Amino acid sequence: MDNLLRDPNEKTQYDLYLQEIEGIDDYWGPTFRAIFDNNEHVEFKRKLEERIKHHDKDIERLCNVYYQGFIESVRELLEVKSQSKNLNNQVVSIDKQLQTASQAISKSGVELLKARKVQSNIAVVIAQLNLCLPVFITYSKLQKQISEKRYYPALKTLEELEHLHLPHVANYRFSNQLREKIPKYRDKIEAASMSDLKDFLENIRKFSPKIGEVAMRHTSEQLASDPTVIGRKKKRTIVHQDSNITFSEEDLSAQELIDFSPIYRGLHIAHVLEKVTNFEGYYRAERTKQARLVLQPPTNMHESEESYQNYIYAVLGFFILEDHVLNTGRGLITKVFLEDMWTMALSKITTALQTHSAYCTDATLILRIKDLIMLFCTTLRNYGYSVKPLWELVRELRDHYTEVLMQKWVQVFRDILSKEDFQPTKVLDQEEFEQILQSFPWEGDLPDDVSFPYSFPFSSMVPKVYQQVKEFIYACLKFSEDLNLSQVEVDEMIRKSMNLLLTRSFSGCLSSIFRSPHVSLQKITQIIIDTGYLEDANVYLDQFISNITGEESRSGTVGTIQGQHAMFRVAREDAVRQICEKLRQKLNEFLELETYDWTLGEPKGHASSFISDIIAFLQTTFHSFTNLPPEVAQVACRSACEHISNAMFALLMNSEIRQISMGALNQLNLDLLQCEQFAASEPVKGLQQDELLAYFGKLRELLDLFISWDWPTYFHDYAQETSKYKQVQPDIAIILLEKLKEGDRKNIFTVLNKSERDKKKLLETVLKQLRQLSVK
Amino acid sequence: MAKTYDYLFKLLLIGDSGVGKTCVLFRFSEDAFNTTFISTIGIDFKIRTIDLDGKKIKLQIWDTAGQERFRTITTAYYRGAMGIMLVYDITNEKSFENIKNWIRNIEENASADVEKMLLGNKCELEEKRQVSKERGEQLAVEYGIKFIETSAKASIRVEDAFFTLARDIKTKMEKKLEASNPPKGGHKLTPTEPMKKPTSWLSRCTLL
Repeated sequence: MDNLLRDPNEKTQYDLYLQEIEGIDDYWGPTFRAIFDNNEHVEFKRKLEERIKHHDKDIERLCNVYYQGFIESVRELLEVKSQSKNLNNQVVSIDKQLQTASQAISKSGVELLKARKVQSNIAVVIAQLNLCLPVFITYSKLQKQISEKRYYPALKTLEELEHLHLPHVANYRFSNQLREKIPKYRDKIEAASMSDLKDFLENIRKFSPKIGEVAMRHTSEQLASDPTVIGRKKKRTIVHQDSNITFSEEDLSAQELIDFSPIYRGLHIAHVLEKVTNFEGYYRAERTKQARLVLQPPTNMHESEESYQNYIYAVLGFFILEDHVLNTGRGLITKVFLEDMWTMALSKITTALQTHSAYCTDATLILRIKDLIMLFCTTLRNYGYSVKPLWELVRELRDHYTEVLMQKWVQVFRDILSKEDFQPTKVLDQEEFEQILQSFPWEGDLPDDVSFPYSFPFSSMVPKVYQQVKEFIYACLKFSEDLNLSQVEVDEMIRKSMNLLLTRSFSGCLSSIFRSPHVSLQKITQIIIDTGYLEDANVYLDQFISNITGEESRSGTVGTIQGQHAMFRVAREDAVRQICEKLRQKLNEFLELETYDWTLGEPKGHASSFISDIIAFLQTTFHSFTNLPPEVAQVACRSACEHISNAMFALLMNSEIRQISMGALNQLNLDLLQCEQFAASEPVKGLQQDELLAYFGKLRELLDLFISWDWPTYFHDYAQETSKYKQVQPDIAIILLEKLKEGDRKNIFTVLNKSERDKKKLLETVLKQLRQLSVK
Repeated sequence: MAKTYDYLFKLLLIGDSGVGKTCVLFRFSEDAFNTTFISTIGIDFKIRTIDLDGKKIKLQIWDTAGQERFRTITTAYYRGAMGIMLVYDITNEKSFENIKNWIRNIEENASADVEKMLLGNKCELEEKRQVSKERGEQLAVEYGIKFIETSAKASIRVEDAFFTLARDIKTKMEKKLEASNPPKGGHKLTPTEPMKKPTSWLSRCTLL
């Protein structure tokens, strides 16, 4: 501004430069240039000096002004210093006062804090204990239940413990321990329930026979009270009424005798433990084992009814229990399982009973066994088991029974026959007479007034056997009782058995009599007669059976009648054979006594004594055995004649006899005549004329030829049907001729007359011719 | 022709029904006993060969039915018999009494020189005895024949009886053979020969 006040022109110029330099801090170049360029730097320097002096003056004045104020300020500050010291003192005293006052408060505050902490801790503990308590309660409950063996509730408790209570107390060590223990408890319970099951199984094993027995009794009582069968069961009912009195406490149904709870409990437990399959498996396996044991019959079962009973009771008991378990055991066993087991059992039972009853030879025992099996079947059927093979078994048993009966009756027949004298039955008075007629139906021609002693044509064996056959029929029937067979079946069975008995057993007994060495002719004869009467009585037996079975009698049919007469055909044939055999034996004994003198000169004029004896014996025999059936007598007579003829012929042909005289031939001729006489005398009725004679024909022709020396006829008619000597073979004639030749030799040397020589020549010629024929 | 025996004797058993003829015979021929009583029908015989003093003797023993109804049949056999056993039952008085009748039968039907013997059977039944041994002996003496008590059941003296009878027949026959000097050396006396002897022999019975 100073510049501005100086020369306005100059001033203005220089002022501008100063302005520029003052205004601009750093971009002073152009300004300086402009100064230098105008050569004004000296002027400017002066001006600038002026300007600096001006500014120094301003600064001096300003500093003068501010110094006064400073002094005043320091004075004031000192004043504040004293005042603040004062205030500080005041504050320190107050602080001290406060310090003393707050000390107590702070102490009780700390105490309060502690107490508050304890309190909250207590609350926490209580809460925790509350959580734990149920665990312990449950645990103790569990212990108690286990000790009381209430395993199922224990198991439930365990579950509660595990899932409800324990999670709340998971942090505690005891909880872990418990947790670890839980499976152990489970195992323990399982084991305990298993052992319970084992006990139960053992128990029922012991009990099942009893159950079987009770069940059987119930069935039989039921059957007895069943009106449809009451008639047949009367006897049994009475028996059981008695037993009811004694066993009244056992009138429970069979299953009620057994406490099944272990099984149910075990099953529940297994369910909870999810070990049902285990349990089932175990149960089934054990029961299968038991079944095997039960089904094993005692080794000597066939010896007594009791052992059969025990066996059947045990089996029955077993299956009744199984059935009960099936129905109530919630699938412990399945129907299929039981059925399988039953099928197995059935086959075993059947085999066991089969084998053992096959040993049995006591008919009564078989009957009882049958009753037992029947009852067994019915009971089983009541429980829904199929028993078909057992029915078949009963049928088999029936055959066996019949077989045993037959054996028994064979003995009976043997006894009868061994005591039999085979004499016509003799009765001394009316009473005995009636007795016989009562025991044996005989429609024979009874005389109007019977005089005693009276003889029946049959021996006492006939009524006895007839009665025994009846007995046999009754015995047979006994088995068919309660068998639910149709009448036709029973009828058929009885008829079949009876036929077998008579045709096989009885005939066999008869045959064995024939075979005994001491049986006499008359015995055999009587037996033949007796069989005839027995066959006739068959009609009555037939009726008898019909009366029993209600089936129509079959005697009307032709077939049976034929069968009847064939009944003892075999035995009779045997008998006839025996008669012939006996006769032949006797004849042989006679023939052994033969005393031919083969060099006899002249015949004695009568028959040899042994022939007379034979003939007399035969006559006597056929005469005595008037009761011998004609056909039998005929056969016997034929056989006798044939035998004698053959024997005489054999004598002639005997190679040991070298020489035979004409005299001996003549003697033989006499004997033959005797025989022929007998043959022609019709020793037995009903033979055809000359039938017996025919047996002697061959011998007759031979003797005729030789005695009449009729060789021309022989050779002439040889080989012709009409030949007188057609039965004489050249061979035979040669043998005899040779013997004659030998016998003649002695004479040839003593008497050498012409006729003898001619005769000898003729003999040689005949021999030659015969040899020619023989060669042909 | 070699015969298996030297002599053939025909014997006959007679007596009441049930005295044990068949049993005696059975004991002798088979050495056995059968308790069951079977009365003989008609006639039967047994043969047994015995050894007697070095000779083989064939005995053909006829067993007759004791029952009356067979009487006609049985008497036919008397003629051929060389020895007759009269059998009674010592426990049966009647059978003993009937011996007289049987003797008469023999006299009527048998050849006169037939050897006879009296047999008291069932001597084992001492407690049931009705006929004393003395009476038996007395009767035998009366008829001049031998007597023996036997038991077929207990096998007492049955053999003795038959052997005794056979021996007597043999002795008699040999005596007769010597006396008659047979014309043919080899020829033996046939049983039929005694039958042809005249009935005057009958008197010999009483002499013996």
